[in-house]
Amino acid sequence: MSTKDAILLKLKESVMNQDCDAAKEAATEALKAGVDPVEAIQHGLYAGLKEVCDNYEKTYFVAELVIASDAFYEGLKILKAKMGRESAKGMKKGLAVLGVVQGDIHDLGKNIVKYLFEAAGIEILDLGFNVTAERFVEEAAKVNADLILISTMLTSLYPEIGKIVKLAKEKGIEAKVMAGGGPVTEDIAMQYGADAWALTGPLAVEKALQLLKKPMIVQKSAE
Amino acid sequence: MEKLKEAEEYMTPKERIVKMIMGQKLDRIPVLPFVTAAAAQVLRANYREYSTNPELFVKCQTEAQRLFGYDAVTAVPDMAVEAQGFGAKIIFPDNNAGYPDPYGWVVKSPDDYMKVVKSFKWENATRMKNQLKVLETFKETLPDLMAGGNTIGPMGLLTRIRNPNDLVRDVKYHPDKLHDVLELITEIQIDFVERQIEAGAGTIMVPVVLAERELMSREMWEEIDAPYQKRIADFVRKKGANYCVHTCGRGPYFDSLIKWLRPTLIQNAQLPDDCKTEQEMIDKYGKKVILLGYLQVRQLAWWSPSQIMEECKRELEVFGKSPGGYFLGAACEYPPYAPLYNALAVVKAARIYGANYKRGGGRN
Repeated sequence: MSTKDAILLKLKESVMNQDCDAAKEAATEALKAGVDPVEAIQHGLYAGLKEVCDNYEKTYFVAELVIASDAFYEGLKILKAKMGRESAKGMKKGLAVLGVVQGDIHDLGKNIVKYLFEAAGIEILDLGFNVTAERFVEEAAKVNADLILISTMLTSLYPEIGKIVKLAKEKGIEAKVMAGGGPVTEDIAMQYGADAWALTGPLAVEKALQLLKKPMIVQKSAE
Repeated sequence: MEKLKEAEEYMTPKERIVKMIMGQKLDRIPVLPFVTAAAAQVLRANYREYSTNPELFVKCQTEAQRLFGYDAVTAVPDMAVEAQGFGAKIIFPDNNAGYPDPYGWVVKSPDDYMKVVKSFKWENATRMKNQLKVLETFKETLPDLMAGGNTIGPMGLLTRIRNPNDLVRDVKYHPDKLHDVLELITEIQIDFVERQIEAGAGTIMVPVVLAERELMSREMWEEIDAPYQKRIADFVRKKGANYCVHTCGRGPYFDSLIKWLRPTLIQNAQLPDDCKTEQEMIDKYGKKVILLGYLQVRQLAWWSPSQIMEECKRELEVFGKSPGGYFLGAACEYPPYAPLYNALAVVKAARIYGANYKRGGGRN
């Protein structure tokens, strides 16, 4: 295994092992060894978080996802700081506004989606939680977003999805709308007029890239 | 055309529920569409008033039960009742259930846990006292109905007073601090449960939502939540009330829930983690627990009353054959934003397809 591959594997495993210190060390090592930060993010950190998300509800659960995301983000901060403007521009595949609907304060899932999208090259404007329909649409218009990503964990707040879709249409926003979150099913998202839904974070990334008509990241093995 | 003949009702709702638990023949199956916040609609109250004014809450619950004829009323306006007693500022939107202020978590660091929980005083717990007042009123005014109380459970409370992201990190990095505070919260919640039972609650429902594949590994749940939930469950049984578990996420750990908590009833929205079909759930767990549900929120929100009646008929055919018994009803709270005609349809289905019900017998 080459030095680069060994470092990419360390990055991936630091996330899978939910080890923030190891992620920071591996990110620093990657930069020292001259590994392209984009490659380190996509084939190291992202690969690790994708593995965690793909095994969600099998070997990883919400607690593990949160700590793995922390490790991911620690590594990401170091790598992004050294990323050249051209690299960052080349990596960018789109811009999305993301938030949890008004009345809902559950943002664990939203944060994981944020990290995965950022690693896949979709820039995120994170509106946080308890976000009104008006704010979703205003912010999407302001930044000319490609996507509006809506999250909720509460069944009582499903109608908020419809409110955002309706308002976006009224304001002539062309961004595609995706809805998700623990209890949200595909038929609920569709019922309220969303363009797409996904069960997990990595699947949401795939759907988003399809909507943006952008290629998936080429997943090089870190082994 | 099929003639829809309804059951001749000769039992009170309370008798119906008690006799179901005892395995006796019923005039009809008990039915619980879980009209909680949605009850505000019957008097055109907004949710803020409904959740903060116990007199109005009682009026709405009483009127909704009188109109629809289901078998139990609830004393619980939302899941932020106990959080207020522990210092959380509760936000009451006009059009939805109350929730703790997400910009002002009471527990800001792991060192705050004990300080916050030790400062609990009954005189400040307005919403918990309102819940007791509601139960006392029900006892006087609706003696034939089963009144339900609840506690959100020790970890459930922490999710209302600590940022859930940080709470999850505390599980990994500060488990000792959590165990210390969970001990103390459990004592307070047992006290709350005792007061509710004395005020008239015949059933205590506890949302044990961490025991789900969607949220936590079985091992972690058994380590961090189960021992405390067990103490509450044991206490409820000792006081002679029904202990009911609510779970609405993917893959609830039925076997662990039954082993640790021995619930009379489980209300679930999704199949247990070790079952692939409804029939498998009945085969595995039907003898160990009474099932409650399985009408989904999306069905109650969007389906027509005719579709709901068909679904109730199907569920009675499937779950009605569960040997331990079955309550027809919603798998989670009736959607507060949905029209109430489907609550009527559920009750009508119970009267038609659940007439002369005996547990294990399926639909009429």
